[in-house]
Amino acid sequence: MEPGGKGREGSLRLSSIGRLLLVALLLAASVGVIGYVYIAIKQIEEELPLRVMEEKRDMERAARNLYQFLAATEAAKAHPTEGNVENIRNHLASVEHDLETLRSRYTFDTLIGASALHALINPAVVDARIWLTDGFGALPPTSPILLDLVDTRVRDTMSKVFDKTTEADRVAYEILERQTAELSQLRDRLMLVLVAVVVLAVAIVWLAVRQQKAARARQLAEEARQSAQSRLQDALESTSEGFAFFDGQEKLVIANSRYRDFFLRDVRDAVAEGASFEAILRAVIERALVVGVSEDSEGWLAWRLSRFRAPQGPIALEYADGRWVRVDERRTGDGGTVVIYSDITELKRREVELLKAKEGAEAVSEAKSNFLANVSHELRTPLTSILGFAEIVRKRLESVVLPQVKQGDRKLDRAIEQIRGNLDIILLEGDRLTKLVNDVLDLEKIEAGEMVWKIEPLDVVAIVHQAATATESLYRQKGLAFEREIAADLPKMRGDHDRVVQVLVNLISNAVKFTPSGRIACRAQALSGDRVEISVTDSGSGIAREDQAAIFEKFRQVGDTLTQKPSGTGLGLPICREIIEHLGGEITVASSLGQGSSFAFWLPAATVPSNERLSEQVAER
Amino acid sequence: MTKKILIAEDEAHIRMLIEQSIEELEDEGVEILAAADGEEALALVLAEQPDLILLDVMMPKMNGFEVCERLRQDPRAAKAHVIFLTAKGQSYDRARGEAAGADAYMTKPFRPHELLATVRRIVGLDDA
Repeated sequence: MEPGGKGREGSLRLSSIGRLLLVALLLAASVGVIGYVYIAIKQIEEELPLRVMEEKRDMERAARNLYQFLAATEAAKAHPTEGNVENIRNHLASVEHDLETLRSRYTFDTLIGASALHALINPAVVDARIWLTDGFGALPPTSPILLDLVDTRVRDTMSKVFDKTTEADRVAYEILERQTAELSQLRDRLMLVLVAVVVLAVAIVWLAVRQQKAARARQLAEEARQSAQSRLQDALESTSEGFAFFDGQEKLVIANSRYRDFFLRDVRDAVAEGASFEAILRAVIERALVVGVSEDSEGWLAWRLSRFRAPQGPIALEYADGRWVRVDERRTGDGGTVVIYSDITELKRREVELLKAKEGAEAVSEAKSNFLANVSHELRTPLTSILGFAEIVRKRLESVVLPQVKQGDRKLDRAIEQIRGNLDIILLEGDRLTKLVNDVLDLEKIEAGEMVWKIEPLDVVAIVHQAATATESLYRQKGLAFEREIAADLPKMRGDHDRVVQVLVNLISNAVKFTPSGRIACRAQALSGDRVEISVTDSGSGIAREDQAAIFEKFRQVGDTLTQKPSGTGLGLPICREIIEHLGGEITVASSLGQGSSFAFWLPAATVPSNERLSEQVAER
Repeated sequence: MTKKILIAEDEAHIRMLIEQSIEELEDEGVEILAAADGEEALALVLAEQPDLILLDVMMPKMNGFEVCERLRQDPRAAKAHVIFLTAKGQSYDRARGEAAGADAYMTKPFRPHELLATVRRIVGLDDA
């Protein structure tokens, strides 16, 4: 279907009506012009100019003949011979002939009137005929008296005819004058008409050209429209998505073949231009195209229609043939709806795979977590025996065996010292192994989100005191000085008491471990942005710049492992970082080799009253 | 008056270690009893009415938490002190132990001198 087809037809009809009107106008104009010219000619014809001339000619001829008749009479008067009288009679015959002509013109009583002229000449001619033929009162036709009478009569007639001729001249002149004027006027009018006709012709030509141009423009526009239409269709066809457009009445206006032949191929019959969206849906239900539509078809229909009328984002439909289709419906500005169908079967397949993989990964993670918990438990039991019996062995050695041993035997003394040292090593390494087990489990719990956190405002002085007390034996044993510098009016920090103490103990223990002599300083201060910082600075061996990033990584004790005896688990600082970051803070190190190290961490200040901020985060198991 | 301490532990090595850790209390008139599983422990508690029970958590037949909960409901054993000795060191285990009515909760590996000190404190032999 071509939208706008009706309009085009309409414009055609309109233009044909215009053309008909134009032709009618032209015909009327032509008839008008012809009629006008015809009437004008008729008018001039009615003025009888030719008859006037003819009559004048008749009159002149009559006058000339009369004159010759008169001349013949004069000659006969001078010599009244039969011959001359005969001559008069001949001329009389000419005049009579003239009279006959005039009589035949009686019907046209125009200029001076043929009848009037006839009436002037006829009596003289009749008298002359009688006198010249039969004589008068016994006088012979050649009698000078008679000739004189004839002469007088003809002269008189001559004079009257002359008067009439003069008058006729004048009248003819007037007629000619008027005729000339009228002709001139007619010419003017004709000129006007000509101009009008020319203007009309120009107008017609202009209109025709314009119409031609308009037609051409229409044709071009139509071609452009068709080209645009076909390009649009091509574009729609080239996409792998199904495309359809429904108008405000939910009738299908346009759809690409992908929509009809791929996404709705099983209900293709229902997908025709003009089909209603609901009819298509009913076809989908009837053929059970989509999984689940048969169970509650009316409910599904209502749901689909509501989503179509008020789209809330794309929906995914599972087809009975296993395909998954994403349907994206959007309202257009004029109340229509654009529908785009995409094949997401592959995406869906991957999603399912990913979900499986994720579940698998989670299962692996949980298995790992369980494994670690079990391993740690299984390690604890033998460790308990090793550490416990080593201690009991030493205790029995010191309190029971050694008092019975004779002093002074060098070999025996050496053996006793070795036993003591070996037992110390067993205890020390056993402790290290215990700590490793604990650390691994701690880290695992934090990473798996299984750690139970109790977040509350913490008094920094108390935290530092507790950590210092816990590590007192360590730094006293090495003879290190321990300094505390805690800023006055320090706000509380927000964190988990046990974990923050754990971090600080760890930092102090590390400082002690890497500081052969000197001092350890623990400082606390407020930072900008409602933060509280605690730092531990030592005067120990320091950490090379390139190693500083690595120390927070698991199992990365830095330094020369060949010359420096490893101690600790390699998990202390990673655990510290996990704890501090979990609590929303940050832990950093500043150090240079031989200059000592400074570890610092900050936590958010507990600026809000404690009972409002007191919260407990319990990770779900 | 003689005090009785019951050791409930299924692992023979650990039971031996606990006995050796506190055996010096025998010189102070403390009687040390031992059980190898939960049911035996519960039966001994009810029969002997010890002052203190050193209770392992993961034991055959009946776990330590259950033993503790059961004996707390029995008037004959209501006064007995309980110290859990367990490899289950996680905080929710600790919380469960406290909920079951334990006086102390020690995670393995424990050190004999620490155990002895705790036992002394709880049975009131600090002066020794």
